[in-house]
Amino acid sequence: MFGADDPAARAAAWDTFLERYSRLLLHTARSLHPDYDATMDAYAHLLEQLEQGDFRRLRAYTPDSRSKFTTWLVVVARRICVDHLRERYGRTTGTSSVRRRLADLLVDELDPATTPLPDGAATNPETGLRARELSQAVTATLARLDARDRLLLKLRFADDLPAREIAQLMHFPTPFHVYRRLNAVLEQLKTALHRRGIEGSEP
Amino acid sequence: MTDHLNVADVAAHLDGVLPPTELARVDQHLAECDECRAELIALAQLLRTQPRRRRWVIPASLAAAAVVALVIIGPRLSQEPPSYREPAVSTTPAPIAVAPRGPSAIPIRLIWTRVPHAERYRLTVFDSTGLAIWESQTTDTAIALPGTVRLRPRVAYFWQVEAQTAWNRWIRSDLVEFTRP
Repeated sequence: MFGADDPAARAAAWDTFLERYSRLLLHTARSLHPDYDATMDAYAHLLEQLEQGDFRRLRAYTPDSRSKFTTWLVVVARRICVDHLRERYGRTTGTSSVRRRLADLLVDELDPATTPLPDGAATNPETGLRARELSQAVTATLARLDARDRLLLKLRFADDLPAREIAQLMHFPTPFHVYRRLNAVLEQLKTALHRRGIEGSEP
Repeated sequence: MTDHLNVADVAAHLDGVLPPTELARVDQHLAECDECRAELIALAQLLRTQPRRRRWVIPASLAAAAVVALVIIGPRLSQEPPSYREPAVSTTPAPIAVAPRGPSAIPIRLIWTRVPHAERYRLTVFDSTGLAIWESQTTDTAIALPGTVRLRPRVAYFWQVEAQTAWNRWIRSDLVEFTRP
């Protein structure tokens, strides 16, 4: 449609495109902006970018057996909106809290005895040493896991996603499958740690 | 990490159409790149909440009346282009399953947070295969699991609570795992 030689045909194609997808594009712009004015500003910028260079970005889509056009469009649109946001406000550095390494988060999961007390009281040196040993062992073991299992652990423990969302992202049939796989991976980690001579908190 | 996933890879991952070798490559990157993973999570949410055209189902008698009305007064209305209302975006918070979570003492008592204007709650307990082993409904925010529901010790079970906020509209908590001693 956008590759037509006739400018009138290309204009008609653009009108058809807007009729079908403007709500989706507006939805994308709205997801990044809290207020109406900022949303409309982002939406206008988005349309401008999509039209630019004779619809260069839209013509980059190749209809093949991979993703749907709407999915592809949402990815492109969101990236344009994020770039626009960054140009205006700079790159965000995320939340102010320090992101804990996955290995440290898993240490808490595998051995709750190493978790610091909630009132901020310092753990004793032995507990601290144990936590560090466990963290190093977990890091080494994590590196040997399947990429998909590492992604599962990251989504669950680092990003704190509920099982329902993980199931959707990783295309598990149900959240139960997520829990089952998580339990299996944690067992795998525990077994690997035992083989390294690191026991759990039980005597 | 300076190299990020391209648009095609992200879109294909979202739609679940990556072939196995490419999926392994993309998953590897996602496991290591916080930015790409955050993008994927945000996009999945966007796609889940994308606006759709509303479909109307009306009884035959009402449909007939509508046809008559259109014939009589339709020409005056037909000047306006059709417009579709966006679906209502729900801001009702989902209930939170408070207890039991993880290892739990018996008797098991299910407790959850209240949802404003909820008419009632539906509780379901599942075994680890996803089979529902008990279901009940209440207007309260706590209910005891009856002794007739036999739970095996140290075996994972799951439960969730759904709040009914309108006719045929339920909002669901996350699925929570628990075990009995």
